[in-house]
Amino acid sequence: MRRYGVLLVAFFLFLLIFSAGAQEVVLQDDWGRTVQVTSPARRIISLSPANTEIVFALGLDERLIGVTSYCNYPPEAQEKEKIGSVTEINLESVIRLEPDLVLAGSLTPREVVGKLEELGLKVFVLDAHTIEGVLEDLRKVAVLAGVEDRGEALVETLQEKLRQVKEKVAKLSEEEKPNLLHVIWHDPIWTAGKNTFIDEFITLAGGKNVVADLEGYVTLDLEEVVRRNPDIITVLGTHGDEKISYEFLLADERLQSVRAIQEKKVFLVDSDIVTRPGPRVIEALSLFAQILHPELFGAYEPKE
Amino acid sequence: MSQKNNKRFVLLLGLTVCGAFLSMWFATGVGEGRYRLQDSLSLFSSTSSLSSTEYTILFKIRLPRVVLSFLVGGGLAVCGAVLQGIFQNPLVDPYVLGVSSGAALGAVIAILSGVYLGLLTVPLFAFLFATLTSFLVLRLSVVGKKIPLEVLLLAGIAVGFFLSAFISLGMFIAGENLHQVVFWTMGGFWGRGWLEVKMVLPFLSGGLLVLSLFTRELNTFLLGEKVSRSLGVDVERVKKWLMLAVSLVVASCVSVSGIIGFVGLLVPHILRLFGYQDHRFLLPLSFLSGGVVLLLADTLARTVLHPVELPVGIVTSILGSPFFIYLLRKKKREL
Repeated sequence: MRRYGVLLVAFFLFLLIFSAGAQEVVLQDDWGRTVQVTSPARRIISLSPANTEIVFALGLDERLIGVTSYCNYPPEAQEKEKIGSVTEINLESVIRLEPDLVLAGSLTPREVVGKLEELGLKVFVLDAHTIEGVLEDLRKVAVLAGVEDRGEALVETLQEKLRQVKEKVAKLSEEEKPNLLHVIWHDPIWTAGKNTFIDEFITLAGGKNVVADLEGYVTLDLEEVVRRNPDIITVLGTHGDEKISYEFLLADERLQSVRAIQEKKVFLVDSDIVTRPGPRVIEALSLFAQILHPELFGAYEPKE
Repeated sequence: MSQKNNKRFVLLLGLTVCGAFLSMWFATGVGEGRYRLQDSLSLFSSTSSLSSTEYTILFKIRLPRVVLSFLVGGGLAVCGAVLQGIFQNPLVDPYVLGVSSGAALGAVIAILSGVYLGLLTVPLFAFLFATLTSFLVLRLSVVGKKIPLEVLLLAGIAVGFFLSAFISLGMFIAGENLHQVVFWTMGGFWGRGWLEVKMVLPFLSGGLLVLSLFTRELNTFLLGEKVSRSLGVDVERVKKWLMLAVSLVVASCVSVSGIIGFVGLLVPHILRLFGYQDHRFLLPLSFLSGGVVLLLADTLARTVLHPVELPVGIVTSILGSPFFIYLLRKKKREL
C-alpha cells in the first residue's frame, strides 16, 4: 500500500515538472468554435498551404509534423510528411502522427474537423476573410504555440508594410485610381467581387475593382468586360506557368477595344501568393500596389 | 390527305422559320439584363452610328452567341430525333454514342495539361475525343455486318463509364483547378464567338444534309426493321450513315457548348406528342424549335442574374423538365 503511495507521489511530481510552463489556453477560432489547447503546442499538423506558411513564418517549422500535398511554400514545407490534400485528408495519417494541435483551413471539410475532434484531437480552424483577420490568425497561432512575442513582432512588421502602402495610397485622388479586373479563369470570365481578398487588395492598393457591385466570386458576361473597360487586368496563374487565361485575353479579337489590352496592362499574378490567407497577403498587397501604381511602388516583376 | 398534310406542314414550317428569326432578332436586343429595341434595330440599320465598344458588344459578342446557341440547339434536337427514330426508343438522347463523356475527357485533358494551341484549343480537343469515342462505340457494336441496337446502347454506356472514370480522376487530381473543368461540363455559351460558329458550321451543315437525305428510310423504321428491309431499305447501310452524321454533328455541338441536357431528348419528343411522326416534317421542325428553345434558354441564362452568367444547361433542365412532365400527363389523359 505504501509503495503505491510513493508511486502516486512520484507520479504527481513528474506531472508537475513535466507540465511546468504549460497552460491551458482557451481561444475562439474563425468558425466561432471555442477550443481549449494545452500551450505550447509541440506537434502541429497543418491542413492548408496558408496555415503551413503561418507556422513557418512564426519560426515553428521544427514543430510542424504534417502538411498537405499542396503545401509548397516555403520550399522546406515539401519535405514534411504529407497527410493528404486540402480536401481529401487521410485521417489515419493524421492520427498516427499524434499531433497536439491540428490547424484546419477554410477548405477543410466540416466533417473532417468533426471526426478529428471525435477522435480526441484539438482542431483549430483558421478561416480569415480579410487581411486584418489573417494578422489575427497569426497572433492566435503564436499564442497556441507559446510564442506570443514572436507573433507580435511578425504582425508588427507586416502592419508596418500595410501602413506604408496605405499612406502612399491616401494621397491619391479618386481619378488617379485605375479600374482593375481580376480574372481567375476565362471560360467563362470568372472574377472576384466584393468581400474577397482580391477586392481588399485592389482597394487598399489604390485601385477600383470593376466588379465592386458584385458579391464574392462570380462569372461575368463577356459583354460586361468590354462595357466596363478596365484600365488594368490581372490574371491568376498557377505557379506562374499556366497561362491559358492570359493568352486568351491577349489573343481574343473581341477584347481588343478594352483599354487594359490596348495598353498592354495585363499582368499574370501568382495564385499561391494572392489566394492564400497567410503571411504573404502583404506581399500580395504590394504586388497589386506595384501593378496599380508603379510610379509609387516600383515596377511589378512577376517571379519566374 | 397527304396533300392537306403537306400544306399544313409548309404553313407550320414557314411560321417556325419566322419564329426562329424573330427570336434571334429579339435575343440580340437582350443585354445588360434587359431588352433594348435599339440594339435589335441596329442589326439592320447602318452600323456607323455605333461606338466601337457598342459595335464589338453587338456584332462580335452578342450576335455570334445568339447564332451559335441556335445552331447547337437545332443540331442537338435533330440528332435526338434521328437517334430516337433509329432506335425506336423515346429515351434515347444525342449522347448515347458516348459523345458527351468523350468530349468532356478531351476538354479535361486540354484544360489540365495546360496545352495552348490558340483560342480553339479546348473545343478542338473536345471535338477530337468526342468523334473518336463515337467511332469507337460504333466499331465495338458491329456484330457480323450488323449493328444491333441493344449492343450499340450497351457499348455506348460501357465506353461512357470507362471515360467518366478518367474524367473523375482528372477532376480529383485537378485540385485547385477543379472549377475550370466543372464550368466546362455544366455547359454554356459564355464567351463564344464567330470562331466557334465557324468551327461548328461545316460539320453541322454537312451532317444535317446527310440526315435529310434519309428521312424516308427513317420513316420506314417506324414500322420496324423487318418491314423496312422488306420495303427494300438497306437498313445497315442507312444506319451507318446516320450514325456517322449524328456523331459529327453532336461532337461539334458539344465541343463548343459543353454538355447541355434536355434539348436533344425532349424537343423531338414534344414534337412527336403533337403528332409529327413523319421524319420529313420532324427533322426540320426539330432543328428550328430546338434552336429557338436553346437560344431563349441562353438568353435567360445571361439575363436572369446579370452581369453574372448562369450555365445554360441548368436553365434548360429547370425549365424544360417540368414542362415536359406537364405535357406528358396531359397527353396521356387524352389518350
